[in-house]
Amino acid sequence: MVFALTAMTIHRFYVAIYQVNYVAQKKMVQISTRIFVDDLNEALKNEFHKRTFLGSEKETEVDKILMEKYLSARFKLTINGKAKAMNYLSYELENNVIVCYLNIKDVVKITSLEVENSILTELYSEQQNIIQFNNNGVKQNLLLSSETTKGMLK
Amino acid sequence: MKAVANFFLLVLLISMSLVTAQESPKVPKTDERNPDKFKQMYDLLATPNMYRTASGAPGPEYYQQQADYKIDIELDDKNQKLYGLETITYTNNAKESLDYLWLQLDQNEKAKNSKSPLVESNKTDLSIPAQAFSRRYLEEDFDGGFKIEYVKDAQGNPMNYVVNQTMMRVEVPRLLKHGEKISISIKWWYNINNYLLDGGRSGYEHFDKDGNNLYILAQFYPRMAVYNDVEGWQNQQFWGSGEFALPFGNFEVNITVPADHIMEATGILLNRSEVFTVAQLARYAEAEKSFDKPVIVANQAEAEIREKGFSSAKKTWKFKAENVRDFGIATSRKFIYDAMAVKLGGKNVMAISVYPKEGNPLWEQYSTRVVAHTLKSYSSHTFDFPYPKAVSVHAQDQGMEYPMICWNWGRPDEDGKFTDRVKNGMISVITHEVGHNFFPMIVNSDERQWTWMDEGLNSFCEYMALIEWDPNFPADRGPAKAIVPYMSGDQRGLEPIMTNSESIRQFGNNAYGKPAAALNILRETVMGRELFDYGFKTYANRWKFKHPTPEDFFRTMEDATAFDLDWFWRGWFYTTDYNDIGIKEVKRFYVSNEPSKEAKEAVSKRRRRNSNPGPMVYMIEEGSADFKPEMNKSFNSKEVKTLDDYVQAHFTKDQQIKLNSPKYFYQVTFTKPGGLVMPILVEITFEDGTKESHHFPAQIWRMNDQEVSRTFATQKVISKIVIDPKLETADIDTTNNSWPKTEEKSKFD
Repeated sequence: MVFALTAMTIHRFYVAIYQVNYVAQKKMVQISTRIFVDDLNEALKNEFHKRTFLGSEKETEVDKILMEKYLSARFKLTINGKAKAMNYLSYELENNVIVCYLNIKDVVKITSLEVENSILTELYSEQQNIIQFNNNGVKQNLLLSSETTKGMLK
Repeated sequence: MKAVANFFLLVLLISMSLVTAQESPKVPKTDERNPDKFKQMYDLLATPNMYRTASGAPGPEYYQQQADYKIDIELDDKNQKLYGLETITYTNNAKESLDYLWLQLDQNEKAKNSKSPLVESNKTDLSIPAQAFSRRYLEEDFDGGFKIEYVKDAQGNPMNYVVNQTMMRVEVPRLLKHGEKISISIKWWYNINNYLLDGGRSGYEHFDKDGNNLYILAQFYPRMAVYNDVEGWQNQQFWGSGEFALPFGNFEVNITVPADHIMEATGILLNRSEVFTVAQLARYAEAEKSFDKPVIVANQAEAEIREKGFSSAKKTWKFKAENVRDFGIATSRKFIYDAMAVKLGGKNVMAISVYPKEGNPLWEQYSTRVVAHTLKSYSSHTFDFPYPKAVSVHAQDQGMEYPMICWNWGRPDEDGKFTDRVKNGMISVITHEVGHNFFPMIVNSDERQWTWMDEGLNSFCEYMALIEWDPNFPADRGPAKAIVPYMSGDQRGLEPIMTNSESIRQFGNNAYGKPAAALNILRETVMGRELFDYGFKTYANRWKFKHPTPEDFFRTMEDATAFDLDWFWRGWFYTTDYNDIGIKEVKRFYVSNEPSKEAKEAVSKRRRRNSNPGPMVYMIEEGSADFKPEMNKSFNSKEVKTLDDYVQAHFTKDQQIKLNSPKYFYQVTFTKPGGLVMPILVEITFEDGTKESHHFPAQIWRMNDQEVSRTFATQKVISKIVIDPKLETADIDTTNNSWPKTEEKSKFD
């Protein structure tokens, strides 16, 4: 079988992967987000009451701004106890997944990382947001969902 | 179960929402030697026996049980209830006698006393939709589950039975010996679940606008469990994730529904002339001759009239199916029906779709065509589809398979518009579910134990079928690179593919995506298509209409191809290891008449000093102490006296012309930070832009699990070396794949 649990969906699992890599050499946190594009459009419609067309020919500049706004409101990193803003760099479409690239500069060391991620959880109670943290070679996973949208990695 | 559109999976997922352990998952490898990676899997596989041979084929004592069914059911559309009466004739083909029989009562997973919700961790939601809150905390549970009225023997005498959750044990009056048959009659009814509210792989969808229901009925009758040489009686309950294990048999099923319903089900329809109109019969006859496009047998205008009727008259549809493991039914007033014929192995098979108008215009355009394509594609990779038909049913949010029939999602907006993504999602799910006819409906693995055996193999075949449908199809599963994000995660958050169906966390990645990628890598990169396809076909043909185990698959793939894959199964299926191969360094060497200091020392240390290997040729490393700038030129064998003497003495002039004349020597050292052993795919680019590829089999790692070297003697100067340039091996870190180390065009700088 394949799973589909809520209306409006056409793919099989509610999983988004967020890779957070700390590269000590560059003093940079490199973040990529992989979200099913149809879910993201749905979420933007829900949040801003405007239909968006990310990932299609009809995509507009406003769509991109809304995406950024949505991501930054619902995906937050706190490093060593301090909230850090992410720089939104670019995005691309990989099949049905929209991949966004973000970074945080001038990070000397990460002793703790708190992740808050409620992307899509307002829409799909079964949404699973997997945070893959690579702290300069040391890996850790964090599984967030509609119920647990915050977690700490050390 | 009290839940909104979020059945077991929700709670399952929630239960996982915790941070995994604290310390680092990556234990740096210290063992240079790791011969276990290539050890045969005697420690992991069941010992071969007379039932299942070491070759992976069914053995001389292989047997399987038979369960034949005669079922009469009636649907109460007004109250969404199903009433049934069945006679099961069970044949014991095992040499041993049976003292009881086990049946599966899968509807009981939705019973009020079901234990499925009780094995899920669930926390309190901080925010919850009012409807969900009401259903979870205010409303009474859905009263699902089988209500068994009686269990009788052939003489009509009551039989003793005990229900244990989703299973029922029926005691036989005397031992059922080898070759004997027993008949059991069971009468039951149950409340059909609205699957959009209460979840489930079957049930009904209610359409508020017109008051109709669309039923997809499955697991609707008490079904025989599998008894075999591996498990004895299958004794795992249906908790919700691990699907089904079912014996083969013949079915005769009479289904009584309101007279204005249109129906499809497993098997051949015996009384088409009684249930179709004259016009529909004529159109169906036309469809049987239409090989290039579907013919609409019951059209939308007719469906729209029918859905207003609510007839109180009844009609009985009679189906007969041979050698199937299960039976599914789809029925509604709303159904539009189209069909076409597909020629497979000299036989005509019908590809059919039924869908409500809400599925149009998408469904009339694609569904039946995708069914036909899937049958052709899968048949070419396995065996000719042996059943007379395959039906795709449009059911909102469902993707579920039964023999000859399956439910599929993919619904346009209310205004009939649909995006490419909806269309592609629908094409994927139809391909996938129709494909399940092959795995596990015919190659009948035990889904309750091993999700990957049907989902993984099927996702792999689905990928091939989608790419054959459209070479640019945006397929999510199959390509090696698609599984990289999953496999590069913290290994403590992953489990091996060889994990029981109920204990898998990332179900889609673990049981569908990873095995699909693994098989695709075997086919495209490790074995090559010819060998792989022969092995895969051999497995499918050996085990069609039988019950294979993972061992049977692993062994057949090796036995039919003389390709030892124990290292591959061990790494990909039994561990959570990932692939990461890199280039550590590249050193250029020059040929010299004079030995380097190291070479001299090595000679002086040689134990048998008197043994004379003959005149020597010396290699000097660029940049080493013995390297001189004048060495920096291309190699010419004339300039190295010992070599030139040797060539002149051993080859005629004609032979000398045919000798290779390499000019440059490079020693490349590969590292392997990843735990998997995989082939090394090397692409060399020369100064003039030309390229050359090398494939070193995985066995190159058998003596050293960390580091290996290769020397390349080339005609031209190498400007670049890249490992796995086409991303075929699911290498999780490509930053170490190039020499000279190029700063990968980073998306972050």
